[in-house]
Amino acid sequence: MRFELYPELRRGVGVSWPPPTDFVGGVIVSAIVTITTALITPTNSYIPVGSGWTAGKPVADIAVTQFRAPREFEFTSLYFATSDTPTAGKTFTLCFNINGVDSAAIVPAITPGNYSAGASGSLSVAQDDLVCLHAGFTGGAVSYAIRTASSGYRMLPA
Amino acid sequence: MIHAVYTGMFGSVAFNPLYFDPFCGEYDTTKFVGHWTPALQIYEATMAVKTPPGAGEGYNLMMYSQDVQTGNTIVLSGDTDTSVRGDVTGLWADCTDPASFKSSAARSTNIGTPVFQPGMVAYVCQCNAIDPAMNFHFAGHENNGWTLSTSWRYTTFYKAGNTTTTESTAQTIWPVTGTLKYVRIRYISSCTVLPHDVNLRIRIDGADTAMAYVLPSYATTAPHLYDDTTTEVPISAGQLASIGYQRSSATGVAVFTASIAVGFISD
Repeated sequence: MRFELYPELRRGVGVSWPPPTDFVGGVIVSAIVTITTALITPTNSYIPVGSGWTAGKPVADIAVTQFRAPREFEFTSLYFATSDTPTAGKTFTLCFNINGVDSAAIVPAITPGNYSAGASGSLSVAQDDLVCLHAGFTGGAVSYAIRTASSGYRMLPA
Repeated sequence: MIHAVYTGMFGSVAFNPLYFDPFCGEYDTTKFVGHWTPALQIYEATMAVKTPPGAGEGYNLMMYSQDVQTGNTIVLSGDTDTSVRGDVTGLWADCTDPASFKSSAARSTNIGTPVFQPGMVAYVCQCNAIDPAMNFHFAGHENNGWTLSTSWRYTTFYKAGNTTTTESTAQTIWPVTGTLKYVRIRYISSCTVLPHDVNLRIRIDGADTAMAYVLPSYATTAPHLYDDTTTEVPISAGQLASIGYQRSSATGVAVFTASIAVGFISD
């Protein structure tokens, strides 16, 4: 409907509108390039979704990592990689956090011997939800650098 | 394709005013930073900060295209709210004149006393010129000044700088299967000894793809635009994407800066 405000755009670029499908896929590539080792602890483990993460490490204050969803969408996948593999008995996980609550819908887990993991699923995000990532672990404290993370999403056309 | 792009501002950031790259999160207080993009329609945008601006104060969020504000201003104000959403309905224009194009950028200004605090901006946009099913992924920066040598260096998507000789630290795990389909490179490459080219590659799983480019250097620091509208490269979820580049010659004092937009259509 908003495009009715811009009919010239439809004419000028020669593209069809609306897009041919009701649900289209997309990607949020979240480049979290850790320059130095990021200590993951139970209280120092929140990470923003998206680019511009200049601090390069997780933080304890969830408020500085949350973005407000500008529109309803659905996360479909999550990948992440670390610079170290977990030692025996430990598992390193990453999940979405919506409005301060960890979601169990898409939770990749890096196990000993591996440096990355990915998971797919469906996690709906409502407009105005506050969204971030939350790193976690089992089996004892770790000190791993999250090197990169990326997620796929689907969003309804305008 | 509706493409939501999220960019952050972290640490002590003064809204005084602040310009930032809407794709790679870099910011600057004195000039525009950002990318040259194909035309992108902007829809909703949100802004979130750690603490409310305060009574009688607020923050404006405005999208800029080629030095001109596009769309509506969004205002976060008062001593209660920490986030705001609004319809921007703006347009980041296509680059039609490389010499005069200013990067797409967003700007925040403070209404009252400058406040140093972290914040984050999110917005929804859609490709408006090539294919509405295409979204774009970015690397580099309007003035990043990437380090060049005859050895290969690598950078990652959504990162302005911090290139590395170790490719594994620059690789992004691609989360959705689809096709890379369009590359736009805006670059400055000057050298005191010519000819002097820069080789730039879009790489998958540590190997070159058909997206391989030779960018000529020049005697001046004028910007140049390189478009590849035809090459298609499939990429699967879980594969590792990176960008590699090198100088073709070690001779001569050289300057190289680039911003890269890579189009992607998911299956």
